[in-house]
Parts: sequence; C-alpha cells; structure tokens
Amino acid sequence: MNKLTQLVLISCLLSACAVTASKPPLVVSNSKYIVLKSRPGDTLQSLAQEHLGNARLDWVIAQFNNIDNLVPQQEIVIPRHYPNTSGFYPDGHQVVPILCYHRFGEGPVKMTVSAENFEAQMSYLKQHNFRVIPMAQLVDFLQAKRAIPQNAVVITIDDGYQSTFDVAFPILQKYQFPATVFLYTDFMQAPDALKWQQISTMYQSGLVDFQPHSKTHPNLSLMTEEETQEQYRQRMETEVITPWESISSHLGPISRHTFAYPFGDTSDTVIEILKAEHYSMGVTVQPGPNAAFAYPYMLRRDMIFGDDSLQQFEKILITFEKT
Amino acid sequence: MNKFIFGLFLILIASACSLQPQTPSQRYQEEFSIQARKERAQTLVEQKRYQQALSEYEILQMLEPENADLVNRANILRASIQRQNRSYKLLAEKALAQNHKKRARQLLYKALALQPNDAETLAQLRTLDEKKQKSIQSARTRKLQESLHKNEPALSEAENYRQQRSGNFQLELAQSLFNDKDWEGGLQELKRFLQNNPKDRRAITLARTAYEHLLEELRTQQQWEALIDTYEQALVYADNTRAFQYRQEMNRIKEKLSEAYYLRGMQAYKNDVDLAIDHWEQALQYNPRHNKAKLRLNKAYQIRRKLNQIMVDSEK
Repeated sequence: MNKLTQLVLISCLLSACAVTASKPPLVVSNSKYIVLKSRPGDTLQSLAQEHLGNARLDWVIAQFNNIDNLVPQQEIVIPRHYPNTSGFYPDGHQVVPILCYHRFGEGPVKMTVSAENFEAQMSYLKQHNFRVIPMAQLVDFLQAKRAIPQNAVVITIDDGYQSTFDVAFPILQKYQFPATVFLYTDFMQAPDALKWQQISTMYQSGLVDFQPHSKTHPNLSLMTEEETQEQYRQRMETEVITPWESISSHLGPISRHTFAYPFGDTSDTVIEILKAEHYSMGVTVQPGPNAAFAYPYMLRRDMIFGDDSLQQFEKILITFEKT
Repeated sequence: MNKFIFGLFLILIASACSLQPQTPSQRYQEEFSIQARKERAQTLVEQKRYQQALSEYEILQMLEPENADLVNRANILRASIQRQNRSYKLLAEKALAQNHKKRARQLLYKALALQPNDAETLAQLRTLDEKKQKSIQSARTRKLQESLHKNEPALSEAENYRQQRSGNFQLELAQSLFNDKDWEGGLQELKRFLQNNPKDRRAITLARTAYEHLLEELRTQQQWEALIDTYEQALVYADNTRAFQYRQEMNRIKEKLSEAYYLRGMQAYKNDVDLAIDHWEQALQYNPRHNKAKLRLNKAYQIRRKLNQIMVDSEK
C-alpha cells in the first residue's frame, strides 16, 4: 500500500515536472510585430539577426522599445518594419546631416582635415551613438518608404584625392563607417588623385561607395556668354553622363543614386538630366540637415574645414528639429 | 483501503487537471505585462502621441485577441487620427492659398505627426522645400553671373564653400528676398546668419524692419494665430518700446482667439465631442483663465469617457 501511494505521488510529481519543462520560450507574432521575452545571452544585435535577418537593424528594436541594451527576461517588441518612416512626432521631426569632406592629411589648405581631427570626429560620432548610414539609404527615407535610425549621419567625400585612401579609409574601416566618395573624373589623371586600384580596393571593402561629381568640375549653374541653351544642355549632359560611364567601366555595374554638384551649384537643366538618367538625389553645399520632405535633388550638406574645432563639428550634428 | 486508493486517484485527477496546458491567452497574461501596456497606451493617448498609442493597442490585440475593448479603442483612435489629420491639411491648404508658407508648414508638420507615412502631406512639404531651395540657388546664380560680368576674380573653391557656410551670402540672400517682399523667406535666411553673428547690428535692424512688414501683412489678412507666432519671434529682436507694444497687442489678440475657440467648441459640441475638446483646449492655451472653457472641457472629458465606455459595453 505504501509502495502504491509512493508510486502515485511520484507519477504526480513527474507529470507536473514534465508540463513545466515542456514550456517553450514564448514568442507571439503577426505580420507587424513579434513579442517575446529575451533569453540569457540575447543582445539587440542577435535578436535583430534572428528576427529581422540583419544584426545592423538592432536600432529598430532599441528605438521601438526605448532601450540601449537587453537584460534576460525583458519583454521586447520587434516591429517587422519601423512604423514611423518619416520621423515625425508631435514635438518635432527627424533630420539627417550630410557631412562633406575634401582632403585629408597635413597642409595649410583650409579644405584639408588632418588625420587627428578626422579620427577625433569619427570617435565623437561613435561615442555619442550616431549611426553613420550609407548615402543610398537616404533614398527610402526621402520617400518615407523605410525608416532610418533616429541619430543617422551620412559621410561624403568630394573630388577623389589620394588622401581619401591613405588617411580617411583606414579610419573609416576602424569605425566601420560607410562613406560615399564623389569623383570628378578628369581629376583622376592628377598625381594627387586616387588610383583606380585604390578605388577598387575601397569599393570591394563594402564600406565606400563611388558616385559622380562631374567630369571637369565646372560651376554647373553658369552658362558661358557664347553658349546657346542647347549647347549648355549638351555640355551639362557630358558633365553628368561621362563620369558615370568612367566609374562603371572601372567598378562594374554599380547602382547610381546621387550626383554631387561642383561648388554645390545646380540648375533646372542639370536636375532634368539627373532625373532622366535615373538619379534619385543631388547634393549641394547649402548648410543644414535634411528632413524626410527635403527636395531630393537639392539636399543640404555641411562642409567640414581643416580648422573646425570639435565644438563646431558637434553643432553640425543636428538630428532632430523641434516644432 | 479501496476508499484510500479512490481518494488518491481523485487527487491525481485533480492535479492532472490543474496541470492542463494553458490556453495561449492565459500564458500571455502570465508572461507579458499586459496591464502596464494598457496604462502606457492610455498615457500616450493623453500625451497626444497617437501613433505610438495605436502601436500599443495593436500589440495588445495580439496578446488579448478576444478583448473587444482593445479593438474598439484602436478604431476610435484611428478615426480620431484621420479626422484631425484631415482638418490640419484643410487648414494648411487655406494658409497656402493666403501665401502664409510658415503657417502651412507648421500645420503640415502636425498632420504628419498624426500620420507620419502620409505621402500626400510629405509631397506638399517637398514642393515648399523645392521652391525654397530653388529660390536660394537662383539668387546665388544671379550673384555669380554679376561677378562674371564685372570680371571679378573667381573665388577659390575653399572661399566659395566658406562663404556659403559663414553666412555673408545668407545676409545678401535675405536682402534680396526682402526686395521681393518675401518676408518669411528672407527672415529664415537672416536668422541663420544671426545664429552665427548674433550681434550684427545691420542684420538686427534688417530683422526688425522685416518683422514690421510681416506683422502688418498678417494684420491686414486677419491671420490672428500666425500673428501671435510672429509677435513671439519678433520679440527676440525688438527694442524695449516695440517689445511693450507687441506684448500688449499679443494679449489682446490671445483673449479674442480664446473666446473664438470657446465659441467654436460650443458649436461643435452637439455633433462632435472630440472636436469640441480640441477647440476648448486651444481656448485655454490662449487664455488659461477662460473659466467657461475650463468648465466645458472638464464636462466634455467626462462625456467622452462615458461614450467610450458605452461603445465598449455595446460591443460586449
């Protein structure tokens, strides 16, 4: 009898244990959200990789849940797509600064940023949790199709000086920051210009993207006195189309998305040509950041000069405009 | 003994029953902080962060699929968002028709805060930005052409960029926009210049004059709300005498506006409690001592709560 009682009690306990142990981690999902409790060892990156297919989308989880990191057993909601694609809120809206560099290294030229300053600026971005995104990622934001991180910044480098490879590229690699280099292709013959081999190396790294900055670097807004409207248009077509042909002949079929206007100046004719050539964006050097409604063919960019202090750099990094 | 075994058998059955696998809803209740999420959704509604509140209700619907109250609340919220979004867009259209671009922009921002993915509103704002950017470019091109005709030496690339950033160009551009009577556009450029050169006397005088013109224009058009905004901005650059005048004028207009909103609320009250609440809240924003608006608003809040409850109960 005693044995029987023991047997019954043990079976009872075992069944209880079995039910408890069989509880799988709870994940509730539909077409818009996934709700779960984090497991020990989970990070924002690992959850982004597991549920969104890309660890770099960790910001989606961080932003949506308003957290910086995870603790085990934390209730987390993962939106399959970040719902607020234009970054508009009752107290203001998201804006994106596009930084514009030219040369790097030592030198008295104002447009040359020293390696120390560039390193300090990149380190500042990292330490203050700015997200450097590729220029191409702006296209979807400007059409409110896909959100970008709230503290997004874009890095661009004009002209194609060799110091882009010697000085900037190793620092960009160190921080894993993407950048877009705008080349004006007639300059590629100059002794201090990038070599195609260096361009190819940077492109293959997946960090650096190359887009056109005209053929000869003229001011595109100005017609010469002797030029007719038609001749001006033809000259502009050459300035827009030729550099792209040159870049793609060296790098293969890469996506074209942005044209950088020399001196930041453009005209209706140039914009028409860009549209016809399927460019999505054009960048000026009008200072200021860009909201989701920015006119994509005249995006603002902030010049970074060699003698800019870190405080001046900091002032440029506006990612939210209050209304 | 038989009784004893039967007893044990009953205990076993009972325990087995208690260990039945939970339904999904029971498990969600146990694992997720549903109540806290409901409270958060309510707080977000009160803070007018409607899109975030809507997300919370959508998530809650996943966790309590059988709760009709959540569906109701989400539907009410969606309808309210759409209604408010529509009215901001209509007001923005009016403002644009009166060429009051700044006011239109602010209203479109409000519309987008309610529906951030509204492509139509974004397109309207983009058109405004395109016009602004093109007007800056054409002023710049004009200036470059003048320099070319005068055979002035071309600026170095660095000087060119520095000039664009330093703001001297913005000052010239502001002047050129004022010449075209584009007070708002010119003031925008001038303010950017003044951010970097806050003590520049020429720019301050220019700003005062431009604000005087803009205020006069808005007074003539009877754009009272825009006038209040503009007075507030003009105060930054005004001397003491002007500042005193501006404040007096603002108080007078605010009282009038408060009363107008109160009356609009009274008109809307019978058909649309939400709209009446919006109007009375606005009345109190302009005059926090408008006691009649305060009383009406408190009653309207109670009515809205009751209406929501009735809707929820009727669904049940």
